[in-house]
Formats: sequence, structure tokens, C-alpha cells
Amino acid sequence: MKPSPKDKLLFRLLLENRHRIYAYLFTLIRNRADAEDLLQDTCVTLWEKFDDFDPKTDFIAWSFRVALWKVKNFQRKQGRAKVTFNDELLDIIANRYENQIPKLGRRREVLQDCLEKLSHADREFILARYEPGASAQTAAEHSGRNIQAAYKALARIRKRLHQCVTHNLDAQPEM
Amino acid sequence: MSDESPAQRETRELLDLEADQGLNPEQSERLAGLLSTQPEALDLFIEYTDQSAALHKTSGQNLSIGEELVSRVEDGLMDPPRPQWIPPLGKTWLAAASIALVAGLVFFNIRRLSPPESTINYTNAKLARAVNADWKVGTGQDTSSIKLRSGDSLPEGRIHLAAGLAQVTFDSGTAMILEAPAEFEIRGENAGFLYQGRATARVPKGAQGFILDTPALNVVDLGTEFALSASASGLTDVMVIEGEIEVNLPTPLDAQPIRLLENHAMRADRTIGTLESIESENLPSFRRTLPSDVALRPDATGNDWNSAANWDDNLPASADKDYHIGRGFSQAIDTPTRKVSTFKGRSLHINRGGILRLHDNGKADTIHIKNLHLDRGTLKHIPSGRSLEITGKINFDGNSTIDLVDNSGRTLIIGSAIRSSDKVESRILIRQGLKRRRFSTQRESENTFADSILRLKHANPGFKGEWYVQGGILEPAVPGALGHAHLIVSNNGKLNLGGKNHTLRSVKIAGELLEHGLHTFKALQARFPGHILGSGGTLTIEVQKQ
Repeated sequence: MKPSPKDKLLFRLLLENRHRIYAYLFTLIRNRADAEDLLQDTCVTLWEKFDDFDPKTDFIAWSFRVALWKVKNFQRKQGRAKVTFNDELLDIIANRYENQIPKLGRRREVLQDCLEKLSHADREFILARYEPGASAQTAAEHSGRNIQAAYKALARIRKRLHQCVTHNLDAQPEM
Repeated sequence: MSDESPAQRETRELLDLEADQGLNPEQSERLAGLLSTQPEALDLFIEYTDQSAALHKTSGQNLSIGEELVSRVEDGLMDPPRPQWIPPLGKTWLAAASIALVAGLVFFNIRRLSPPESTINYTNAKLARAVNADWKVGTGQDTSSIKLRSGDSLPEGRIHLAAGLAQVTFDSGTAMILEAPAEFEIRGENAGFLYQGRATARVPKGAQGFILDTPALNVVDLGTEFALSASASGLTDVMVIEGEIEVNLPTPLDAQPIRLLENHAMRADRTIGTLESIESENLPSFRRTLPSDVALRPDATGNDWNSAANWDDNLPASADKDYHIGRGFSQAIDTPTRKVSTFKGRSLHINRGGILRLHDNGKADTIHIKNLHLDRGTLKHIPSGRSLEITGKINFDGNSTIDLVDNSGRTLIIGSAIRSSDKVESRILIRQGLKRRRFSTQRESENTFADSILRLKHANPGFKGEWYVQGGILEPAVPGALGHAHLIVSNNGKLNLGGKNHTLRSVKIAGELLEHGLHTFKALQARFPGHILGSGGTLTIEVQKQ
């Protein structure tokens, strides 16, 4: 089967934006495995519905709308016990998130520099924590820390990264 | 602003708890309450979570993008090529020789669709070096001068190089040389847009897929070096220096890209929407290096490697410049036949296609190069005496070859430390030619038919690549001379342990992988009689750490 020009356009848009869609899903669903599953689901739906998409409009806004709908559907199927945020709060978070997209993009760029500013041990530790399938427990074992020390270290490194990014964004010249 | 409010602090603590230990129902409810009522808590929540999601990506996770879609696209990639592009009259020979149409790869032609933002943000691309450069940002009336130093990040949006030369390095490792006047824009970690000007891009392994677009043409690199010249009037010339690229007109979106091969060139004209072959020889030459990088002239002759006649800056080799041989072209330079010959440049790079031929004047001689870099190049030993020693720092930046002289029993000695790049696992291929017996007299053959030797006289803790002995004898003459490496001995290759003990990551001899642990000379010789020489020594194979 030959991909149509529209398939190509969508493929390109997804390649460009899949990390954003993933981060958005992760923010709403709070769980990595669920966010990955929902990303797959979202992509398939985007493809099925792509005829509705007007290329002159904002792809991110459209894909986020589909993603939010996926999250709500997923929670509905999971049942009440597993719901992290109710639909009303999901809408509040989603709305604020969408307003923050340009800023989040800049934060991500600065994050790489901030990662490099960490000590070698801290950087290895935080990256080990976020390896696929890893947890605080596995990262602790990997680095020879006890689990309580690992919780503290992770909290400290996350805070440091966040502050470093905030500080460096503020420090950028306004022109 | 890095001071946090009490609500932000509580949110942060809940998020750490959530990430590492999970929240109980009360804590979940508390978090939801903070987010619904405290805007600053919500902002922190979003930033913190997005940071974690970004680290998921950083830790190497590959986010697949919908299997059904991908399989559809792959189906398309496998379709037979569709001939769409018709070469201009009289140029068919070139078209036939150089162009293959490929279907589908246009998908990877990823471009940013949204216009750049009006405030200045910085990209991950950096200014590597510049010569007499004068920079401006903005367009039309709204331009301002900026100062950029080596190592600075480049701003987003249109950048104008008003004077001088610059080398820009993308996040991916792609290096681009720009000649003023040029206007360009960084568009992501491996993509750029050249509004006008002349540029050469060198795309290293791993960064294939580099995109450089102009108003008239889109280029996707397939692992290569190429040059572009874009004019404001809508003409773009593109030429492949090494490897291959794909070119395409910017519209229509679904046009089939054209594959352009080494030494071929095309011209795109935006106003009439055409793309045609041109002769690469007719293009003015592109600058592929900054002035402190010097390349071997194509017409270099003679064996005085320090001579001005050999180098494209027309100056004798000097200690503040780096010298390059090869870069995709077949090029060779000979060392002078002296007792001691020293190269006077800061470094000598033997790149792909480059050969450094090592000569002596018939005695035990020395060749000294302060920094020798072999990046897919070849060292060829052509001695007249029994042995030749090479000294100075030797760096293996990519798979390279040491070519020993035909089986003449002569020795090339590496008298100093070898290093390998941390980025790639370089393989050193050791081989020798074979003299044909029928051209030799009996007497000659008695004297000369013996394997040639590569002797390592120095410990090489900085070498982490692979020794591949295909011919000749590798002779590590001191403990640790093989470094922390892999070793393969095959075909006519031989190993002389030199009576020393060596520890390696893995060893394969005649197709057999040695077991972990210690192997004595005696056991090795009994097992591989044709491949193990000398009178003693051991090989220890490390257990690999997972």
C-alpha cells in the first residue's frame, strides 16, 4: 500500500511532536506504562481521524485534544478506584499545560545543560532512575545506596535540576 | 525566581513521593486539592512532571509512534521506485550515472512548521570556531549586531553572518562551515535552513538524516559531506563531496526525492520550479575547512611533507595548524627518506581515502608526528631498511588500516602510546601484501619471504578498540601494549606474545573465541599452531562486566 501525502504529513508531524504528546499524557495519567500505551492509542486515532484535521491549524492543539479524550476514556474504563484526577481537574491541568507549551519547550532545552552541570554521580543516578523499567529501588541498588538515602537523593537532584532550569531561563537575555 | 511558596514546596514533596513510593488516597486528594486551588502549585506540578517526562526520553527510550501507521509507511518505503524525474536534454549521461529515485524517504524530511518566536531563545547548536566573523540577528529593518564567541549557543531565528567564516556544530555532531555573506537558521538538533550564502556540511556517523533546506531546495543527508550555495534570487546549487544525499523541491510536499551521489551536483530554481544536473567541476570551490585546517592539495607531489607545495594554504606546515589528507578522496603523502623526519604541523589527520606512506633511508629510522589522527585512513609501511619507528601521539578516531610491507620480514615499530576515540570503537586492521614467488629468485625468497611485523613498544591503556590481524605479525613487546581491547587473529595473521602477559576484553583466533581466564603460550600454540609465535607469555580474557 502506498502512503498518501496525508499519511506522510501525519508521520512527519508525529515524529516531530511525539515527545510532547507523551509528556502531556504522562502529566495527566501519572504513570509511565499507561502514558506509553495511550501514546500508541492516540497515534492510531490521530491517523484514523486525520481527514478531519485541517493542516492550516495547530497540530499540537488537535493532538492534545485527542490525547485528553483518550485519558478520560481510559480512566472511565479503569473504574473509580484507579482515577488519579477527576475530569474537572484534568481539564484545569490540560488547559494550563497548553498555555505553557512554549515555556516547557525552552525548559527542556535548558534541562540538557543543567544535567551536564550535575556531578557525575548525581547525573548517573538520576538517569539510572529514569531508565525504562527502572524505579527508585533499582537505581538505589545500582548505586549502592540504601532506599531511604536514594529517595532523598532523587528529591534533591530533581529539585536542583528544576531550580537550575528556572534560574537559567530567567538569566536569558530579554531582547 | 527560585524561592518556592509553601504550596509549591508541599506539591514538590508530594510529587517526589508519588514518583518513587506512590501516594496513599489522602495524599492523592491533597495533591488534587493543591492543583485545583493554587495556580503556582499547578505550574510547579506541570514543570516538574514535564521534566521527568523529558528524562524518560533522555534515558534512551524510543517512543514508538503507532505501529499501524509505521507499518503503513514501511510498506510505502518498500514500493519499487517510480521514475518521475526527467533529466534535462544533453545531460542524460550524468543523470544515468548519478541519480537513483527513491520512494518514500520524504517522510523523514522533518521541518518545523510554526514560524520562529519573536523573542530570542537559544538553540542547542554551537559556534565551534569563527574567523573575522560579524554577526547580526533579525530581518529587514529590525536587525541588531550580536557578539558570538567560540562555544556559544546560537540564537533561534534568522542569523546573518555578515563577514568572515564560521564553523557551526549541531547537537547531533553535524559540522557546517559558512562563508559570509550568509543567512541561516538552526531548526532543531540536526536541521537548518540556509536563506542565502555558501555552506558545507559534514555529517558524522550517527547524525545521518541531517536536513539543510534553502528557499529552492530541500536536502536530506545520508551520511556524507556536501556543499550548498543559495542565492536570494531563488537559485540553489548543491554538490556532494562525499557519500550521498537526497534532494527535493520544497513543493509539492509529496514529490519524490532524488538521490545524488558523490561528486555530482544539481541546480534548483525556485521561480520556475526546476531541478537539473550541472557539472560539479564548474562550481566555484567550497570551503571545507577553516583556515587553521589545511588540506592536502590534489596536485601535491614529492615527499617533503612540510613543503608549501603540498598544502592548500600554500605555506609550509606550521605548528599552529591541523593538516588533513583524504576526506573521502583518495590521496597519499610520503614521508621523506631521512634518518629522522618530523612533521611540523600541529596534527596530521589521515581521513577516509587518505594514505600516509612511511619511508626511511635504509637504516633504523624514526618518523615523528606530534599528533597523528587516523580516521578511516591507512598507514602504509614502505621501508628500505629492516625497521622503522613511528613516534608521537597516535589517535585512532575511526576504523583504520595499518598496511605492512609485503611479506619481507621487516618491522614497523609504534614507539609511543596509541589512543582510541571514546565515541567510536575503532578497529585497527593489520594486513600485509604477499609477494609472488614466481617473480623472485631462490636466493631472494630465502632472505625475504617472512611475515612483516608490527611491534608495539609502548603500553596503551588508552586503546579500547579492536585489533584485527589479517596478515603479518602483531607483536606487543611490553605488558599492556594491546590496551583494553578486543583482538581478532584471522587468515594469515599471527600473534607473537613477546614473552609478556596481556589482558584483553575478548580474543578470537582462527574463528574461535577464547574462553574467559588465562591461556598460556604453550596451550595457545598447541591449539593454534599457525597463528601463535614466540617463546612465552600469556593471554588473559576478562569476564565482561554487564
